[in-house]
Amino acid sequence: MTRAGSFLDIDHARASFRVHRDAYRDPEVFAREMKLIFERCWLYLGHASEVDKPGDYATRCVAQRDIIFMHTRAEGVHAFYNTCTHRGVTLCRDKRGSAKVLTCPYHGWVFNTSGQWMNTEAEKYPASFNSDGRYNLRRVERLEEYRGFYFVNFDQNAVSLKDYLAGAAELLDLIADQSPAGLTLIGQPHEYSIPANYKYLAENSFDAYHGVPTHSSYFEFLNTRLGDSEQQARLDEIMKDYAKGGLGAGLGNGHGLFEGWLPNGKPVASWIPPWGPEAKVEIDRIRRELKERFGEARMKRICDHQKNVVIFPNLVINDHVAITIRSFQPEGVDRMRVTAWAAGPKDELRMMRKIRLDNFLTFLGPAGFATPDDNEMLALAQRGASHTPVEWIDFSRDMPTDPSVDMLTSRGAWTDEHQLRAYWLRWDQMMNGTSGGLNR
Amino acid sequence: MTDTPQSSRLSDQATLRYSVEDFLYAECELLDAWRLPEWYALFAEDAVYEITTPGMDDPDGANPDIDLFLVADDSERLRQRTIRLGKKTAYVESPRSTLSHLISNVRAAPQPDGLVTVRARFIVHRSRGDEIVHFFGHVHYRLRPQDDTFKIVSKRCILDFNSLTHQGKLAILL
Repeated sequence: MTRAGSFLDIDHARASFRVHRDAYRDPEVFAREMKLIFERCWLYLGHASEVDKPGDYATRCVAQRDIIFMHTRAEGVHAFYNTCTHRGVTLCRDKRGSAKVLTCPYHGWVFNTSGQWMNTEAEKYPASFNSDGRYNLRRVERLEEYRGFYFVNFDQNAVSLKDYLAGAAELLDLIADQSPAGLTLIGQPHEYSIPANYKYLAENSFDAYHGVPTHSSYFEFLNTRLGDSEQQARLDEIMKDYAKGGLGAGLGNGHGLFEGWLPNGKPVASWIPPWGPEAKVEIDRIRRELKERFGEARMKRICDHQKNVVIFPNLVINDHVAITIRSFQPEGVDRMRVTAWAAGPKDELRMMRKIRLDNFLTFLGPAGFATPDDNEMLALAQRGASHTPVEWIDFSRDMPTDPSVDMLTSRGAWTDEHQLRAYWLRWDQMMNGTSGGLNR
Repeated sequence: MTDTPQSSRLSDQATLRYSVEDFLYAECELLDAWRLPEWYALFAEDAVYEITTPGMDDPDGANPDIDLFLVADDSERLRQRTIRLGKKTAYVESPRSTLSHLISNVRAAPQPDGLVTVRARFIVHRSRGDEIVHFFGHVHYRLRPQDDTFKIVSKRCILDFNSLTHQGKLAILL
């Protein structure tokens, strides 16, 4: 039987915060999530650089809906449901391209890039046929953009994207501000799947607690890279007490992050010895430019801090060894599909772009030195949830005992679980029909 | 019967293909046996080992300096990859998969610079627990003849499918 009411068991006196495992394993819970969460939250669609010029488009599936992300030739960027208004056939079958019009492969119905139906058979369809626009492509209910990041919302009555993003908006600023030229995606994304509930990936993505145990083989690799350097000495110092290497925080509305300061190299713009002296010159130039624009403190935050941001419910933006935009689509209670784009400054030097991509492949991606081990842990978590009767899993690390602390925005060391509790609190609120005023 | 120039060329080609195939079969055997240091020793000092991203534009011609690959290792990172995969803490391959590397449709051509370019098709079957997945595609090698065998100067594997949605990840060596 599907669980009613809250999925959380919060006991302040014990400093205990537990989530009932049905949240990961019950197909009925999944069906409710698709309604109560995915039809009400802002969901990542794509980046402006994917549809740079009028006519450019990309197609993708968001929350089990096929969408065309289109830079129209007449009226900016729009999102349409990818289905012909005649017989409902999938209209656009290419993943990306540039179009003058969209033509349905079935009966040849034609739409312009703004989604307007074009009457190519005036002798068969009268002028009044589409007078109310009923045969135009259906637009996704809401589409909004923040700093080049486009999101959709299937709820006409949702608050603005900016209000929804709350404290996460600042993290998008810190990425978008890395170059005055702006951000671009690099090549095509990694697309893969994980046999686990999507929430396991959200948790894993801003959980620094697992960093050392799960990724020890990555850290051993890093040690060989840094050699006998100032960076290695700093890394050694942090590894003595890893919790001091960063902070974790809820950012409001279920979003959260961890932010660390490991000296493991960041293309914008923190240098490590293996990159060589030429790269140091360029990194120093970028740091000076950023300092001029934003001052010392913000420059250092942009350059020296790793940020893993989770935007509720299914977007992760990593800004550490490289920038990744990772959106994950639930395909069932125990399976998700992941799309991970690499991004970088539009005007990045080729030398730095190479370093960025090298860094990306070392840690990230389904063939990297770390991500596959994460995926293994997620699959094991799903296995545990699906095949044992044990009910609860735990998120209590550094749980406040004071019930008046707002757990949507509380903070602590990055290895604590404040940001994970913020996610779950929000999830539980939405599953119980409240959305904190975000949907009217 | 004496060799005509044509039959001599044929015989040269057959010999080259035989020696290349023999080398590639030996490579497959090392990978299936997880003899990773020995496999790594097949590569030249300045070698590159690459796997392109499924669905990318022009995977045969793409450049990993400007485009996102799945794997684009220089010799040192490839060494580190083999070291990592040998550890129990590389959880994704601990316990290890059982692998079956097959290679076929081999075409070898000697080049003016002394290297031999090879095109072939491959299938790698991977099983672990109840899971069975397959990786397939084509591969480009540049081989340097050395001491009656070869050193791999470059190996680029191109996966001939559009995403890793079916396989999930690619943590093994192809």
